[in-house]
Amino acid sequence: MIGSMDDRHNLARQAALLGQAFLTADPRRLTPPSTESAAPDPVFAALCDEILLAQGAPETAEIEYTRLFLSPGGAPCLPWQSAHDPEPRLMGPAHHSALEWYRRFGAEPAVSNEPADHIGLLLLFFAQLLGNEEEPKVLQDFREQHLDWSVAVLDKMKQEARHPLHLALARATLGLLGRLAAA
Amino acid sequence: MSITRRNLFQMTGGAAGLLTAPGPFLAFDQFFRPASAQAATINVIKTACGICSPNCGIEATVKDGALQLLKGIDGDNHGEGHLCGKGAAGGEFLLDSDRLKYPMKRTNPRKGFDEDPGWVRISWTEALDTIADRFRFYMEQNGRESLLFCTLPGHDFWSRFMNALGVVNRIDHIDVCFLTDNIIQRYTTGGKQWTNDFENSKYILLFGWDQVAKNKIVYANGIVKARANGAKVVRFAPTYTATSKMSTEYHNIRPGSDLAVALAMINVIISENLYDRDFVGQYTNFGQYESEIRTHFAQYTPQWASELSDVPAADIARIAREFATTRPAIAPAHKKTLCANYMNATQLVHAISILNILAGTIDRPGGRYFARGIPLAGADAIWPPPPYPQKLGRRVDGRNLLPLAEEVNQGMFSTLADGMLRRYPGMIKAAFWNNYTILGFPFPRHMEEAMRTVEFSVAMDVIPTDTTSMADIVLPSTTYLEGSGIVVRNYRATSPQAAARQPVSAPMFETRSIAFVALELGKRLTPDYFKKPDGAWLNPGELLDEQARRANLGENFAEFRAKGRVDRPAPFVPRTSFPTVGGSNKCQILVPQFAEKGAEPLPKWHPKRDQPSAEYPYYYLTFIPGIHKRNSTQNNAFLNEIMPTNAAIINPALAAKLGIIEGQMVRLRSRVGQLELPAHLSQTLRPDCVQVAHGFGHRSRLLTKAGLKGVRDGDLVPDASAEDFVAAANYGGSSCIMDAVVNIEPL
Repeated sequence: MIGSMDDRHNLARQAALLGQAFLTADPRRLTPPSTESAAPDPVFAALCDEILLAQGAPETAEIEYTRLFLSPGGAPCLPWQSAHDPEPRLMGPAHHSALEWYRRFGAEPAVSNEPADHIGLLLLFFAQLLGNEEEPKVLQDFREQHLDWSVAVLDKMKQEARHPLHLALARATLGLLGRLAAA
Repeated sequence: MSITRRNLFQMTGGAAGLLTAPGPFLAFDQFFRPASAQAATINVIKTACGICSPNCGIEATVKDGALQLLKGIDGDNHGEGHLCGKGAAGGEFLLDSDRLKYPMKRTNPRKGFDEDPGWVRISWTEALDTIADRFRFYMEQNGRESLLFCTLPGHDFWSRFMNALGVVNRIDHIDVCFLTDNIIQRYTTGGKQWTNDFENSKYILLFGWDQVAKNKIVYANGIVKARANGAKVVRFAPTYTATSKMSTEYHNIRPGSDLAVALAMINVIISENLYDRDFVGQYTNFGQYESEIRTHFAQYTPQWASELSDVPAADIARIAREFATTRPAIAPAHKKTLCANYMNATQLVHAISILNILAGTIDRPGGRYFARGIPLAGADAIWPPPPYPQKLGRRVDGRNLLPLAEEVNQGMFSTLADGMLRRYPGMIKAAFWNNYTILGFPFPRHMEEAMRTVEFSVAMDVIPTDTTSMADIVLPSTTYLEGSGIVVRNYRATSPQAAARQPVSAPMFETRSIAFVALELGKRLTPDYFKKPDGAWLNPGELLDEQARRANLGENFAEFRAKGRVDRPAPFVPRTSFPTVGGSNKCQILVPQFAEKGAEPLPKWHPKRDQPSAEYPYYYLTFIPGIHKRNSTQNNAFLNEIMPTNAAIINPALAAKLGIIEGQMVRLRSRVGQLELPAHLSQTLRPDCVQVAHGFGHRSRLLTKAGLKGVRDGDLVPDASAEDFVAAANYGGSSCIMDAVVNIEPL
C-alpha cells in the first residue's frame, strides 16, 4: 500500500522523470524537479544531479544512450518488454497488452510505428495512474504486468552503464520498483 | 471508480493539479495522445513477398500495426498459395529487435569489428546533409571515380540519382549470381534467364541446378508437376539434395566437370544429328558455321568427359540422346550459383545454352521462354531527365577488361577488393553500401581491408551487418513489408501478373526507403534531375500512380492496390525472331561477336581454377541452405532457430579415413586461409569433397542472434583480379565463389 497522497505524488513525479529519461537521449531535454520540490530520496536526487551534470556535455550521454538501448552496439539493455518475452521480438504480446491498458484510459502512444511497451512509456503511463489516484489493485496489476520485467534489464544496465547518468537512471528505477513492490 | 471510465486526457488538470504541474509530467502529453480506437484493430492485407525474386503473394494479418501472420495467396502465379520458410518468417525481419531504427553517426574514428563505433543517433536531415557535403567534397577534390556505390540499381529514383551524379563505380553482386547467364543469353538466344517451363517439359537436365533445395516455390512446383506429367529429371551434382531427390536420375559428378559432360553431350547430339532439325535449321546460325561447330565439338567424346567427371561414358551418351529426342526438353542455367561457381562456368553456361538450342525449345512450350511481362514505364520515361553527365573515370574493379560484363553493367564483387587494394589503391574515398555485407564477397578478408582504406562510408541496411559496423553514417532501411510498389511476375511467361505491394506496417521507427534517400540526396546534390516540368519535386507516390495508369492496372496506384492483382493471360505465340546481339535475329551457337571481343566463340574445355593436390587434396563446396537467403537471414529469429550455424559436411568414408567423428572440430585450410568448425558427417556428398554453408560467420557483434556464430565460407575461396578472369577466358565474369581446394585436419 502506498502511503500518503504526498508519497503517491512524489512517486508519480519520479516515475514520470524516469520514463522521460528512458525515452530521451539528449539530457538537455530533461527537466529534473527543483531541489526544493525533490523528494528526500538520495538515489533519485543522485539521478537529478547526474542529469544536470550531463547537460554540460550531452554527447557522451547520447552515445551511451544509443549503445545501451538502440543498437547497433549490441543494445545490451533493449528497452522494449516484448524483446524480453520468452519469444523475443518487437511488438509481441506485451505490446498489445500495453496498448490495451493505454486505451482503457483513453490514451495511446503519440508515435504509432514504434512498440508501445517501451520502458519509458510504461513508466510515464504508470506515473499518470499514480497521479490520478487509481486504486491500489490497478497499480499493482499494471506493475506486475508491465514493470516488473524490467528489473533484470535494470540490473544489467547497472553493470553495463559507462555513463553516470545511466547508472543513476538504473539505480533510481530499481529503487522506485523496489518501493512499489514493498508497498 | 471503474478503471474503464478513466480517461487520462480528460483527467488532465484534475488530481490536485498534479498533471498540470511543470516538469516531467508534461512529458506524458509529449509521448501520448488521446486514443483513436477503443479496441485492437485487425486488418488482413494482401501484398507480395520481397525476400527473393519471384515475389510470391502473401496475406498478412496485422493487429494494431503489428504483423501477426503471413501466409500464401491462392491463385498467385508464383507461390500458388504457398510460402517457403523464409517467406513465412518474414515478420521476424520486420520485428527484429536488432533492426537499425534511427540514423546514426560514428563518434569513434577507429574502424574495426572490435571497435565500439560510439554511435549517436542523429536526425535524417543531419545524416543527409553530411552525406551530401562529403560526397560533394570528394567529387570536387578527387573526381567522380572516387565514389563507390555498392548497390543494385534499385528504385528508379536511386538509379536516376547515381546517373545524375555520374557515378562510375557502381558495384553489385550479380557476378556471384546470374551475370554470366545474362551475357550468354544476350548473344546466344536473346532471351532472359528465368522463365523455365518445367511443367510442360518431358526431359529436364540439371547441371548443379538446385532450386528445389533452395525452396524456390515456383520452380519446385514446376518440377513436381513435370514429374507428375511423366517427365524425366536428370541431375548432375556432387551433392545429393532435395533437387536430387526430386530427380529420376542422379549422377554424383566431380566438382567443376559439368562442362566436360555438357560438351560431350553436344558432341553426341551433333555427330548423331539428333538435334531439332526444324528449329536449328530455321532459327539458328548452325548452318552458317556447321563445319566449325562439328569440328570443334568432335574432340569432346563421352569417354574423355567420363574420365574428368566420373560419369560413365555410356550414361553421358544415353542422356544426350534422351535429351535430344525426348521433346520438349530443357536445361536451366539460372538460378543461381551455377554460373558463378567456378572459373570455367562461362563456358558451361554457353554449353547449356547450346543444348537448349539443339533441343529446339528456346521460347517453346516445355523450354526456356522469353519472359512475357507487364511492362512498367520507368521514371525516366515518365519525367525525362536532363542529359546525364558522362561517366568519366577509372573503373575500380577492372571490369573494363571484360567487355561483355561491361556491356550489361553488372558486377563485380569478385574483383572489387583487388581493385581497391592493388589496382587503384586510395582511389575510392567515399562509399555508399546499400543492403550489402562484406560476407557476400569472395574472400571477405580482402574486402575488410579494402573498406578500411575508404575515408567516409555510409551503410543503409535493415540490420547492423558487418558493413554497418565499419560505416561512418548508418541509415535505417525499411523492409519489403513497409513499402509500396508494383510487382510484375514473369516466371511463368504465358500468364504474366502484376501484384500490388503495400505496407503491412508503417515504416518502423525512423526507417526510410532507398527512394526517399535518392530523392533527398538528389535535392541536395543534383536538384535539376528531381524536378518535374512545373518545378515541383518528384515523389515516389506519383511515380506509382503513373506506372499503374500507363500499364492499365488502374487509374492510379490506389485503384490498382484495391484490385490487389491484375492477370494478363494470353495465348502463347512462339517467337520466330531471336534478338541476339549482332542483329541476325537468330539463336547463335557459334558467337562471332565473342571472337571479335577476344573471347571464345564456342565453349571450350577449361578446368576449374583450383585442382586437388597433395597439399590440398579435397574439393571445397559451398552452398546456400534452403532455409536462408544468402547472408541476409541468419539473424531472423525463426530461421536462426532452425539453422543457427554451419559445419564442415564430410562423407563418413572420408571422415573414417581421417579419424573424424560427428561433431569433432576440424581445420579446413586452403591456399588463402583456414577455418575451424565442427564436422557433420553425411553421405550427401562425394568422399573427395567437404562442404560449408554460406551466410554464417557474421563478424558484427551487433547481430545478437547471428553475430559471431559459425564461419565465413568465403575465407577459404581466393578472390581474383580482372586479369585473372581474362587469363582464364572467364569473359562472362563467373565469380568462382566455390573454386577452392582444401586440406582437412581433425583437431
